[in-house]
Amino acid sequence: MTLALVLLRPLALTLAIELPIAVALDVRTRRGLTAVALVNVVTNPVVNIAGIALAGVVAWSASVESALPTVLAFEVAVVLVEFLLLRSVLAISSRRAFGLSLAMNSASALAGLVFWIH
Amino acid sequence: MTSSPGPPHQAATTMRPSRLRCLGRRCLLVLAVVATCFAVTSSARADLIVAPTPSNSVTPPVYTPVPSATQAADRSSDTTDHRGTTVLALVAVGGLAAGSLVGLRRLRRAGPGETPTAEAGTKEQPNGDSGHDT
Repeated sequence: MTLALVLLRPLALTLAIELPIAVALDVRTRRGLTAVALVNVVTNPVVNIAGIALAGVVAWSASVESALPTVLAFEVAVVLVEFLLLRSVLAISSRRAFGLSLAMNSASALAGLVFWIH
Repeated sequence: MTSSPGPPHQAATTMRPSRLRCLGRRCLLVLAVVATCFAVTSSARADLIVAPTPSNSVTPPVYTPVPSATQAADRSSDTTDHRGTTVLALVAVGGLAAGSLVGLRRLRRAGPGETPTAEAGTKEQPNGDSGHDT
C-alpha cells in the first residue's frame, strides 16, 4: 500500500465516522462541519505519519495489545489538539469543545481498532 | 425594498484585498491537492513503507545473494524514488495541514456569520469560560 493511500484511507474513515457524530451532537451548520472536517485534515495525517515513523523504530503495531498504549497516547494528543482548535474556531465553551472532541475521536478510534482487527 | 447595494465601484474596491487573500489560500490548497495526486500516481508503482507486522517481525533471516552492479544500481534508483516520493507525500501532508489551518483561521475570523444554532446556543455565560482565545 502506498503512503498516500495509507494516509488517505484513515482520513476518509475518520471523516465518515466523526462528521455524523458531530451532526448527532448538534453541530449542524456548514461552518461547524467544515471546522470539524478541517481539524481532522490537520491532525489525522500528522498522527498517521508519526505512527509510521514510530513503527520504524519500535514495533508498536505488532499486535493489538502492544498497539493500545501507543494508540491511546496518540488519541489523547489528538483530542487535546482538536479540542483547542474547535474551541477557538467555533467559539464554543471549553466543556462542549472537549466533549465534542472526545466523543468524535473515541468513536473513530474504536472504529479504527475494529477495522484493523478485522 | 427600494434599497440598493451601492455603487458597483465601491464594492469592487472593498472586495479586492479579500479576493487576493482568498486567491492565495485557494492556490495553497490547489498546490496541496496537486502534490497529493502526484504522490498517489508516482507511488503507485512501488510501495513506500512497510510497517512492522507480526508476519514480517518473526520472519527468520534469509540468505540473500550479493547483488550485481546492475541490480545495485536499480536498487539505488528505487531508493531514491522512494525517498523522493516520501518527501513529496510529506510535503503534500504538510500542505494540506497548512491549508486546513488557513481555512480554520478564516472560519474563526469570519465568526458565526450564519448564526450556527448549536455553537451559539451553547456558549457559556460571562461568569464561566468564554471559550475564546485571545
